[in-house]
Amino acid sequence: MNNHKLWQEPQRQSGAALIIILYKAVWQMLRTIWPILLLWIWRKSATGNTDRYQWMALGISVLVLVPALLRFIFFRFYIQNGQLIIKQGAINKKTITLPLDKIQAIHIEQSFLLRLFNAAKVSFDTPGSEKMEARIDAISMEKAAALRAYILDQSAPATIEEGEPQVLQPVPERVVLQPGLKDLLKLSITNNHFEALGLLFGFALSLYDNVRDIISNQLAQWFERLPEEMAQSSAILIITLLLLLVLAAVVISTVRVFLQYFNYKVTQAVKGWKIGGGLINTQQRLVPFNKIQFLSWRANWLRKKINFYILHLNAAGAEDVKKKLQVSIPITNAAFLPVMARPYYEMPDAALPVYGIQKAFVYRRTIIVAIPITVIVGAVLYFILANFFWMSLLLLPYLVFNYWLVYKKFSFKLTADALQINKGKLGVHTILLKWVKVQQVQVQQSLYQQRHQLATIYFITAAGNVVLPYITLKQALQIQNYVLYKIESSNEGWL
Amino acid sequence: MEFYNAVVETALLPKVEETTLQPVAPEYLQVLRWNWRITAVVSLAAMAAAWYFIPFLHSQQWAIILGSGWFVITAFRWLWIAQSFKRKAYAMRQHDIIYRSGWIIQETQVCPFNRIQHCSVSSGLFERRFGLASLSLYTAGTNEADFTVHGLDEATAITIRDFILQKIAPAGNEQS
Repeated sequence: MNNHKLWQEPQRQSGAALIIILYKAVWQMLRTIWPILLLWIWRKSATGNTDRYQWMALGISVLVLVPALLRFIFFRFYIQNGQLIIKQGAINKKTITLPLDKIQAIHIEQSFLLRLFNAAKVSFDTPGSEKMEARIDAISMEKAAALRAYILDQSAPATIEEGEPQVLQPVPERVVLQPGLKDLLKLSITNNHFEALGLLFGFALSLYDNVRDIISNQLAQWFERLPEEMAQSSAILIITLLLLLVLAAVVISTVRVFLQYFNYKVTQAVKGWKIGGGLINTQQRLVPFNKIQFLSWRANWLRKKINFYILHLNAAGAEDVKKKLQVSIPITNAAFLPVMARPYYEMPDAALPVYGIQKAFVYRRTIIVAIPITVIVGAVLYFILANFFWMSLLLLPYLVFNYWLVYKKFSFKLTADALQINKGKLGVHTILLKWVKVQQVQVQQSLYQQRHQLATIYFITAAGNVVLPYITLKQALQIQNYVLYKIESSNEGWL
Repeated sequence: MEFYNAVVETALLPKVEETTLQPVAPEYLQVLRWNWRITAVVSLAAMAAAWYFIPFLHSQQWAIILGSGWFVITAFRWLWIAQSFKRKAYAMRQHDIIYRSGWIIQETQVCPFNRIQHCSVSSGLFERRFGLASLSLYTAGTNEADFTVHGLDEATAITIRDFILQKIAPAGNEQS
């Protein structure tokens, strides 16, 4: 399948794409108009007067379905002169041209629907492609894999020096990580349940907001009275409700983890990490090694105790691309971290000198952030909920303690080629950045920092910023000059 | 294969802090001041309209609150413009460009040429009136990862842009 001719001919998406596009359009429409739809059904049964809503629904359907159909009919993709060309649109014609050597990642995704048709969605990432929606909604799985292999083959720079005999040895792919059921349970239990609770509340609120006009007045009044009733209820009832909420959050976290990480596998291929898995929506991502700008891994307090980490591969790209490439890999044992870090950079020697940040960080954050926040919260509580005013007094020591922890836990090591930052207040948060990945260096000083010969240094990379706050000015300038020397004297590719 | 691993004398490395920076064109202060005047007048007009048309604000107390708020912010902007203008300066070195800016938070940005993806020169209405332009540098990735040197003489901006474009052009495709 991997021959030039095949990819040079303009191709359509597979027939499944039409179904996927229509399904997405209908789903999108239903998500937008479902309150109207519900209202329509409600009114229909109540009055029998439906004309206006029927016309409205018909109009919206036409507006949504026709563009979807046109998108399928006028879609073509092909490869020509080292460029992937995607043509789409009937009225507003759009041609996306992606030079193959600029493509930094190709994602093959299979939703449940796509799996039914043995098809896959293929999307492409390039640096600076913020507003470019380069994707093929559905082609056969076999074709998707062949296209990815072809593009990677075409875009990869030759690693063998000229003049040397080129003997290409197929390097076998190696599965580095495959979390088991026990690991997934560990991941679920130690997950951030506040996030799940937030999701639950968000969903409940939006549901209530949407159906408020539709549900009966009695029920609406009961909802409005709920806080009052809660206040009058017994402590046991409130505790039971809270426990139920926590249980719901744990269940939601577990479901989310299993949906995302079921059958999860990290494979080390020749040019990058192949990462894939998922219960209903299977996702396969390839993150080329050279696109990774910096590595970071985290563990909250609980995960630190059970030796469990989440590794982030921070790859180059614009905001939406980064979201896709910002792959989070669950690491079930700290011993795996050096293995995963190796293709990027060997972990710095543990015996290297460790530097910290200056204590002024705590004082300044207290004055600039903690005190104003406490005053504002205190004032709000005083005027609105006077009985809870005392709570604002706890805020200041909490925030100060928080900054003090940051100061105590922040440390960094400098090697000839990289920077390692260790932070994380109660848990672990480590960042590993190779100097050659830096695109710009910024030294910032507030008026206070100027008076006290302090500075904050920013290393700006194609995947985001890495910061060393409140170090001495002398140290910041030394690091800045050295990093610039490393970037400017190196021929190593960084993208 | 011969392998060198020379010791890097960090003390001998070129120092950004010792580079003599070139202040931006003095006319740029006039551009900033014109922008300030326009913003001040437009915001005053918007606030007066809000005060007149929104019944809730239609009292002497609100007139005093809004007026003094406007005065404080506008006066602060005047001061900020004057102070930050004094700090704006740039320098071109063999391998990078340096730009210093800011007043309350002062920053020095350095961008090596071999990390720049492309660059552009633009000029607004007032900048054109004073023969000035801004040079924007774009690196890969996020929008944050670029910076703009304001207040350059138009000819200088174009010269720097051409110089950078020549520097970043792939080997064998260099502009003459």
